Amino acid sequence: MTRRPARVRVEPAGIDIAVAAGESVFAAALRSDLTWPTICYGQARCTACVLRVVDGHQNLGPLESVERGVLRQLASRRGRRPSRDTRLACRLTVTGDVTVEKKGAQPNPPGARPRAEDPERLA
Amino acid sequence: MTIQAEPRAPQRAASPAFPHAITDPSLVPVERYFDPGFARREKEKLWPHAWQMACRLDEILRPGDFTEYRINDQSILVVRESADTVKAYFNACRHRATALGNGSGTFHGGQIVCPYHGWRWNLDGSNSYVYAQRGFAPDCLAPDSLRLRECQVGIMFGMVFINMDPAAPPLATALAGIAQALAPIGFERMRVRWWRHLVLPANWKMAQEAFMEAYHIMQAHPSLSMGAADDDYDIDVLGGNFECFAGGHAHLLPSDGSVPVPGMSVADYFTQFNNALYVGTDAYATDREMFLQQSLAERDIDPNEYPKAFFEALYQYAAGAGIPLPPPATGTTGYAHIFPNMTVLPAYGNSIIYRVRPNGDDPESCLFEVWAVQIPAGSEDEPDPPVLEGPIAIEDWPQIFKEDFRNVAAQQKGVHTLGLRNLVLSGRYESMIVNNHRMIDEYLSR
Repeated sequence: MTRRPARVRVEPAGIDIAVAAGESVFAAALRSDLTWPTICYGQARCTACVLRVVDGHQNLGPLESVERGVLRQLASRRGRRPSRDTRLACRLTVTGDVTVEKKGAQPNPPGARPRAEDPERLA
Repeated sequence: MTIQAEPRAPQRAASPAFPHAITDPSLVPVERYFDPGFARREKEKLWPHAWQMACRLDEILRPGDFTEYRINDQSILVVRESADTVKAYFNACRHRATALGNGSGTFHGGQIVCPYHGWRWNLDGSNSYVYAQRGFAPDCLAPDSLRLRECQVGIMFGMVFINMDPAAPPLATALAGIAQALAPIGFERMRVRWWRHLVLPANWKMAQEAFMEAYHIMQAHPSLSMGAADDDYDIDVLGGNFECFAGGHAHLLPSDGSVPVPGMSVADYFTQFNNALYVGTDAYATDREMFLQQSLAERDIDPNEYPKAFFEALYQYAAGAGIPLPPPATGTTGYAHIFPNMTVLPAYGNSIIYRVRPNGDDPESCLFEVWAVQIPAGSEDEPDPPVLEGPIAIEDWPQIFKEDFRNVAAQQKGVHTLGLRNLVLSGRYESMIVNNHRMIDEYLSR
C-alpha cells in the first residue's frame, strides 16, 4: 500500500507541497507548479537547487553517494565542512513532514515554464 | 510468408556476394563469428538499419524518464516524452557533441540539459535554450539545426524498439508474421521479476544461437532430457516444427503434446520439466506454478490428463488473484526469435527473454542479458523500473544457463581451429538459426 504523500513546507514563500514516496522534493516542486532554482534540471550537478532543512530531520530520506559527493564539494567551495541541514532538492526524498528553506522557490506565474536561475544564488 | 528451410547436401557455392556470406543455408562460414571485417560489415549494414529492442517500456515509466541504449559505438537516449509517447535521440549535444545522458534517470522539468555549456532541449527534441546566443551565427541557431537527431521508435510486446535509419520501414512491417504469432502470449502485460547479464567471450550470434534450438537438450541438459539418451529422446516432439518469417523471425509451432522421454507419463514429464527449469533457470516456471503443482500432487488425477488439470488450476488461481492471463495460445508455443537479436521462451503468463549485443567493436565478446518476466496481479502498483544485475560470472548462474554458457565459450574456441570451414546446421531443428543468418545476409548485401 502507498502511504499518504508527505507535506514539505517551503520557506520563506510559505508554500506546502505534497511529496510522494520516492519522489524528490525538486520533482514534487516542479509538479506543484513552483519555480525552483536549477540549471541542470535534476541531474545532481549544478547545486542550484540546494536547500536548508529547518525542521523534520527525522523524516529525511537517505543521503546517497552522488548527493554526498556534490554536497562535500559545495561545502569545500564555501570553505566549510558539510552540514546535515544542507541537501540537494533534486535528490532529497522524505518519509514524513519536513520544513525547508529555499530562497527563490516561488509559485510559477500562470502559464510559465520552470525557469533557470543564477547558480550562485544559493539558499 | 513462410520460408522453407529444408536440409541440403553440404556444398559451398563459388562466389559469395561479400566475404563469408552464406551460400548454402546449412553451412555457416566460421569467419562470421570472429572476423573483424565481418563484424565491421554488421556494424555498417546491419545495426544502423535493423529494428532492435532498446529497452523495456517499464524502464521509462514517467515523462522525463530516460535510459541509454548502446550498440557498437552508438549511444541513443530513449526518453518517455508523455504518458503515450517515447522518443529516441542520438546522444549528442548539437553544440560540441557532449553526451546528454548517461545510464538511466529522469530529465526533470521536461528539460534535457547539456552538462558542458548548458544548452537545453524539451522532451520532444526541440531546443529550448542556448546560452549567450548572440555569439553564434544565425544559421547555427535555426530550430532545425538545433533539434536533437532522432531514431525511429516503435512499441511492441511492452518493449521499445528503435531504428537509426529514417528510411527503414515501420516496426509493424519489419515484424510482420512474428507480431501476429506472438500476440496471444501477452508480453505487454508482463513485468520484470529479474534482469541479469554477463559478458560472454563469444560472438553475439554464437551466444544467441545456443538459445535458438532445442536440439541441444538431449546432450547439454540432463535435467531436461531426464535420462533419455541418444535417439531415445525425441527432439521432434518439442523442437522440430518451426515457422520462419521473411523478416528473419521464427517461432516453434505447438506439438501434439506427446512426451519426448520414452516410458514417462505425461504427468511426470510435465512436472519434472517445470521443476528442472524452476531450479535450473529461476524462470519459466516460478513459485506460482510450483505452488500449483504441489496442490495438484494431493489430488487423484489421470496422468494423461495432468496438463489439462494444471491449466484449469492455473486459470482458477489467476482469476482469484486478479492476474490477467490471456487465453492459452493455440497457434504457437511462444518459443521464438525476433530478428536480429532477441529470443523468447514464454510459459504460463511468464517468459524468459534474451537479448544479445556485440560488446563494442569486439567480434568475440558480447553482452548477454536475460529477463524473467511475469504477468503480475492487476491491482498492483506499477513497480519501480527494473535494475540490471551483474555482470554475473558463468559459474554463478543457475545450472541450465551455466550449461549453455559453457558450451558457447567452448564453441568460440572451436571456430578458430584449422580445418573447420563451416558450422553445419539442421534445416529442421536449427531453422531459427538458418533463417536469422539468411536475413543478416540480406542486410549485409545491401
